[in-house]
Amino acid sequence: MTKVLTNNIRTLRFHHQEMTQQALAQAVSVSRQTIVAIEKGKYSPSLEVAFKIADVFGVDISEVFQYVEVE
Amino acid sequence: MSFIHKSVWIQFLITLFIGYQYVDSFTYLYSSNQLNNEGYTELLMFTAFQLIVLNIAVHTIVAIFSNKNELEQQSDERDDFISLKGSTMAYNLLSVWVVIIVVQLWMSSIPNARFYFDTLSAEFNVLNFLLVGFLLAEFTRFATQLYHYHKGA
Repeated sequence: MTKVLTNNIRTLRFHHQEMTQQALAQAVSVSRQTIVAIEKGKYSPSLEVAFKIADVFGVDISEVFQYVEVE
Repeated sequence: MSFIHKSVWIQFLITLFIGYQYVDSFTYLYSSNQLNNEGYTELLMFTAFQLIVLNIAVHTIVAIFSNKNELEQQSDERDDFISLKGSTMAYNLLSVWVVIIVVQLWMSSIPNARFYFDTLSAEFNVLNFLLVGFLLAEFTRFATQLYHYHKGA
C-alpha cells in the first residue's frame, strides 16, 4: 500500500467566494499553472507554499493536504 | 501553458531540428568525400548560427503572440524544480559522453585503430563528438522537462 499526497484546494476555493486559480496563485506567489498542477496531484508543493495556501483559506494545513493510502 | 513552458517546447523543437540538420549535413559531407577540416568548420559555424538565430526568431514570434501577463511571469518553484530535473539528466548524459570520448581518444592512439573520421584532424574529430554530445544533452534536458511538465514532478 503506497501513500500519496491529496488535497481539496478546489473545494476550498469554491467555498471562498469561488476564488479563481489565478487569484490563489497570486496570493501564494506561484503561477496559475502550478496551482493547476497541485490540484491535479501532478506536483507536490514545497512546505512554504503549502502553508501559504492554508493561510489564504484560513485553515490548518491538514485541512488542505492529506497523506492517504491508496491501493 | 506558461511562456516558460512554451520556451522549453521551442528549444526542444529547435534542438531536434538542428540535430537533424547537423547529422544530415555531416552524412552528406562524408558520403560526398567533402569531409575535411574546412568543410567541417563551415558546418560548425552554420550550426551555431542557426541555433542562435532560430532561438531568437522563434522566441520573439511566440512572445509577440503571448499576452503581457504571461511574459512577465517569473519562474516559480515548480519551473525551477522541473528545470533542475532536466539539468540533472543532461549532466548525467554528458558525464557518460565525456567518458566515451576519453576512451575513444585513448583507443585512437592504438596502432591501426580506426575509431574516428580519417579525413578530419584529431581536434576536429573530438570537436565533432563534443558537439554531438552537447546536442544530445540539450535534447535530453528539454525532453525531460517536457515530460515532467506533462506527467507531473
